[in-house]
Amino acid sequence: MLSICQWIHQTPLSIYIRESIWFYPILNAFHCAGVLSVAGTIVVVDLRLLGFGMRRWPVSSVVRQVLPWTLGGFGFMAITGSLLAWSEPLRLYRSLFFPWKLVFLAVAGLNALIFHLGVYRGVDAWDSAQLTPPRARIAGAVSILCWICVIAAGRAVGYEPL
Amino acid sequence: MGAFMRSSKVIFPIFEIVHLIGMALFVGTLLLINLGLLGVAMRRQPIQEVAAAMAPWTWSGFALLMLTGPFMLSAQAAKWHDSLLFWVKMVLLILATVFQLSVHPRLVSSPLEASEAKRIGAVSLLLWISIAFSAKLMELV
Repeated sequence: MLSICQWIHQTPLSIYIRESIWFYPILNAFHCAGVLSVAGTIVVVDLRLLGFGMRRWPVSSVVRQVLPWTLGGFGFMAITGSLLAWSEPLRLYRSLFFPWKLVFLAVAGLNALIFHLGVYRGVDAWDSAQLTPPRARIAGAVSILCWICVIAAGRAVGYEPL
Repeated sequence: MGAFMRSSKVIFPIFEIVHLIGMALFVGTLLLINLGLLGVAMRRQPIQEVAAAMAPWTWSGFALLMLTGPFMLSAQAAKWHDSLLFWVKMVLLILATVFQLSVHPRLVSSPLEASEAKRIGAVSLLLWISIAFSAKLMELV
């Protein structure tokens, strides 16, 4: 792993981003905007699943209208995030919080996958229910917790020494 | 307050993380309202319903931002006092807040003309994007 990080570190793209005056901060700003849009829109779906608001709207209607924006933000976040990671692989290799950020991101993704392949397949039965099934509520709560942790760990990475 | 914020290495990041969580809530819900006003999102229900459903969460996020912001400011008050970008951000913030408060009653009550809805959504997006831009830039300069 260390040798892969060392190899990435000396690629021209990595050096270019690392040493640029404006490219790195712009990527950083867009990455922040991406993360906030992803977390801020997915939380709307989570709040509906938990029954905190939008109770009159069918669950599938909320999911179908909000999710495209979340996924768009996710693509944006992933591209800018990969470029940022590519520019400082050695720092992230030593980082205490970066692995946790990836773990929480993976749990958030897995949670969404389990929700969509599981209880959401039978959404027709509870689409208009004010109180969603326990598995849907658990998915909503796990999602909110994961994104809070992703944001906290992500911010913590920025405070780690070079 | 400033001394308290600097008294430990972890206090500032904790306030900052709460600030960011409030920001996510605020950005996400306001984005859906504004994209709805522009007619590109949340089209299955009237925009008043979207605005009314999102508003409690938008304002909760706003409250978190307003509660933590002054603490973060106090940690480096002298630095921000001399920063032009900080004052730009504050003026834009007041403008955007006044704008948002003044259009809110109209958003949640009577139906809007499509052109007026578009205008409100565009102005709001523009104001908040410029706040985000000045905030990020102020952090970097």
